Amino acid sequence: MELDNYRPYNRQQVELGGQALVVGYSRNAWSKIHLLEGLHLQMELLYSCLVRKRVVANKQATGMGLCHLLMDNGMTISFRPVVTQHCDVEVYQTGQPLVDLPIAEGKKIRPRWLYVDYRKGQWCGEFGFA
Amino acid sequence: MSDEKKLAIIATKGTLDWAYPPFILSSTAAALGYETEIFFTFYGLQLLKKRLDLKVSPLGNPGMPMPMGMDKWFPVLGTAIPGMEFVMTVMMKKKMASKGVASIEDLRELCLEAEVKFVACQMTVDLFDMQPNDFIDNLEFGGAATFFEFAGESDICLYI
Repeated sequence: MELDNYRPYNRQQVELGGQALVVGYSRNAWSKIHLLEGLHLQMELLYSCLVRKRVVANKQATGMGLCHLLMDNGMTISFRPVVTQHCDVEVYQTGQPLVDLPIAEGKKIRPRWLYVDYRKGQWCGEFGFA
Repeated sequence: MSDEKKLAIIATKGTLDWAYPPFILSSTAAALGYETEIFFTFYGLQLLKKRLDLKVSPLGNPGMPMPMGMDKWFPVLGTAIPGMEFVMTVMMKKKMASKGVASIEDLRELCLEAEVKFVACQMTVDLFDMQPNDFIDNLEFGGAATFFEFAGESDICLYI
């Protein structure tokens, strides 16, 4: 699993949208576990000319996405597939509006892992399917 | 007659840069509800290996943008220097990662999650003396005739 490349300090296995998700924490994130309550981490999958991924926190998270989970430690995680009207490599900088992608009925597209990190006072992370 | 649209893709290339189009197009189409099938033939079979080791080469690739405008002044012969392929591959992967682009491994898994059907060309497997256990699971092995059953009814058919 690509999560192993990040060498997480600790891991949890949860279920998101009916499928298993491994949540890995960096040492820094684990030491700040008391700050996880109320945190919303959203895994955003942008379908465009290049399929892109990013993890956004709190104010940048929009809605509850395709599926979400409130974890025992008080953190909420959600998965949100999105699309833009125009392809733009600087889409995150230009602030082009992201629209929920209507995933077809029955397609169980779910991340397999989420890596949670805490750097310079900000929550961040990565997620993936492989 | 089903309302579901169909997308058929023929993937013939096995380099890092050419791996993106079939997986991006099929994962997106499948997420939108298309019934999608990819026929991997010739060098496209490299995209189905259990352990992906895809590379990109600047040699004979004049359309490839290079840093510091090197594509304008760096001699073509220089792109054949040992190690250049490795350097270019690493740089391409770093560029992709810096823009948040999903890896080929991720895209391939996305396709499988979205139920994209992968068909590996049996002839190519035999031709290059490959073994079925070199490849990932969830594959169908077949030939052109197998693929034409689906491609003939597809709404969109792409050759990559």
